[in-house]
Amino acid sequence: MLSEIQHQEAATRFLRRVVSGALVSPLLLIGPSGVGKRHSLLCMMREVLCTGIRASNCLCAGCYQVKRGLHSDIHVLTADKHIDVKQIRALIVEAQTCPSASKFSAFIIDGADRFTIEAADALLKTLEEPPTTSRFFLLAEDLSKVPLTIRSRCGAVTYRRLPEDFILSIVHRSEENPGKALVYSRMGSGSAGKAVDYCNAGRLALRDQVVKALQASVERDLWAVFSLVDSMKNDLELAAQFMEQVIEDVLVCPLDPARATNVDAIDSLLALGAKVSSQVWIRVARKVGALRHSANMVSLNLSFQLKTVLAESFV
Amino acid sequence: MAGKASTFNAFYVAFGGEPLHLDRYIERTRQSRRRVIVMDGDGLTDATLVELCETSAEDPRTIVVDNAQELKGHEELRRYVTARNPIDQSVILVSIVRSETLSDLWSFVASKGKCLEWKKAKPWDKESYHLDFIREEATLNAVTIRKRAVEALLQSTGPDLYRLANEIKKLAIYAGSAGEITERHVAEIATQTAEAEPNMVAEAVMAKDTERALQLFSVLCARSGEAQYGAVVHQLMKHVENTTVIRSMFDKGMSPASVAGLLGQNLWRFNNAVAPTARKHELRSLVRYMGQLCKLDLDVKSSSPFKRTMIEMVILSITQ
Repeated sequence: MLSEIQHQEAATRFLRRVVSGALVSPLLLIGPSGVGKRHSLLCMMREVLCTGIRASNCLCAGCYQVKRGLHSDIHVLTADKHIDVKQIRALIVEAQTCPSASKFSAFIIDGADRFTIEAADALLKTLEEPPTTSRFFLLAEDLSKVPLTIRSRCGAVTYRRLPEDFILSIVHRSEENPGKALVYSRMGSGSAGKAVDYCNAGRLALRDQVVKALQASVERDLWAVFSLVDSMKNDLELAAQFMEQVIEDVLVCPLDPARATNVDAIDSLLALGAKVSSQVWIRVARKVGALRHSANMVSLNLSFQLKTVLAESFV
Repeated sequence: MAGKASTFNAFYVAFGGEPLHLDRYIERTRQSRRRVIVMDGDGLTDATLVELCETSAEDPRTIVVDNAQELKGHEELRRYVTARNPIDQSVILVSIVRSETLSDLWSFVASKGKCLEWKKAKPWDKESYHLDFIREEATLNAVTIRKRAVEALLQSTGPDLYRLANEIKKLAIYAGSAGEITERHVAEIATQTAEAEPNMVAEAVMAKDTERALQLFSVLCARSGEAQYGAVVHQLMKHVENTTVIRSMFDKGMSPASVAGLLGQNLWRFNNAVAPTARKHELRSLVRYMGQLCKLDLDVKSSSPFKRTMIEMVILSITQ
């Protein structure tokens, strides 16, 4: 139910209007991944389909089907890299059919910032004049990557980053160690989904490798640096993200250690900060940030690029 | 009077990855005074082969089975080899196995007779192997060849032994009564058939051999166009990265033996090929090259019309 959604009051207000039928135009839900965009839509659909007690623990057929992702009136389209025109055409055909149980079908497109040009063009007309029994919800992390034409046809709803204590309470369900739980919740940077994912995948090991790589770079041990970067080859994008976080902590720690993300590694961070001037760390962080930005647009040899950034900065 | 120990062998197994040597061995066998029957092992069964060996005939004969690795069946041949009378000189079986290793059957046959192996050159002994081959071929053609001509010929013709042998035959005729092949002869008539691979370009670049690097890159471009640009950049990245690691270890005072051990490389090869290349560069320059290659990687993946020029600029920057 929508009452379950916490810390996203503005978004919930919009979704209530969709439930009441006062809002039929497509919505563009913007916010980092893991802040509850898709979850709030499913809660909204439970509100529409529930025939039971209308509470979070309701076990009616509608609620059960929505929870299990089995309801025939909810269509979710997502893609790892790009959403292409074929997927959109199939979705448009489905949008012409009547809903089976509810007053409208929900079409959730997760990745409005990953449309190919043809896919975005194909969707425009349907967004302008959606079938009366279809509601479109487009989800995006980065508004700047959503085509302008798509943006202009949707009502934008912004999701906020979640507060740390709320994420911590969620992470605590899967991580008992309070120190680690705090690090994971801060690593999520306001996203409960990311924090839980990192926790379940044990991403502190990757963070430790990143710290080791930085230590080896400071000691100019290129063999160790390159080997460590090679060992992270499947998670290089995440490693680059962690590297930025660790460097930020290296800069923050001498001023206020309590504000650092990696609170369990304060000693290592202070040691890193003592060995190299903050100017160098700022330069490295900028380069890593630029690298992550480029890697989003072109398929780069990220391993080599990361090695180069570390070698150039410390040799 | 004590009799001389017999050197007769009824079974010969020749194998290896160099077809030139195997073909020449067949030719030499053909020239013997015995009657020679050459058969292709592809489609032949061991039963047919044994039948042919056991057929009584008055004249002694040699049966050559080329492509023996393709022979079907092994029971009959094993039985024949085991039961063969060692003093019977009527039939000699020569098997040409065109592969780097011998199967159980042919190892067994070889154990009952004589085994001859012509290995394909390994990456680390490629150069000296081919240089020796060129000199030997020149001697066979009754000419001598200058050291620089040997290198020039290998560069222009590539490592294929057949091509090298043909080129030397041609050069020997061209040199004529002078009796010596010079680099001028090679430049004038040797055909440019050298293969160019992205890793060869990278190796030449790291060896600071500008001329060879650009020549190989040009051959590569002529053959594959833009398709190989990415591969060249990738190989350059790999080589620069490896050299950077090795150079940084040397700068820390590590011995070649310990560096080779850490990298899991053959020490002889490391001392002769890898270490000298690493010593040609300085660590700071190598790190700078890494930066240049990162930029080049982006440029090559963009839609720039000057990709070839950009790669050539980086090649020049590293080699000079």
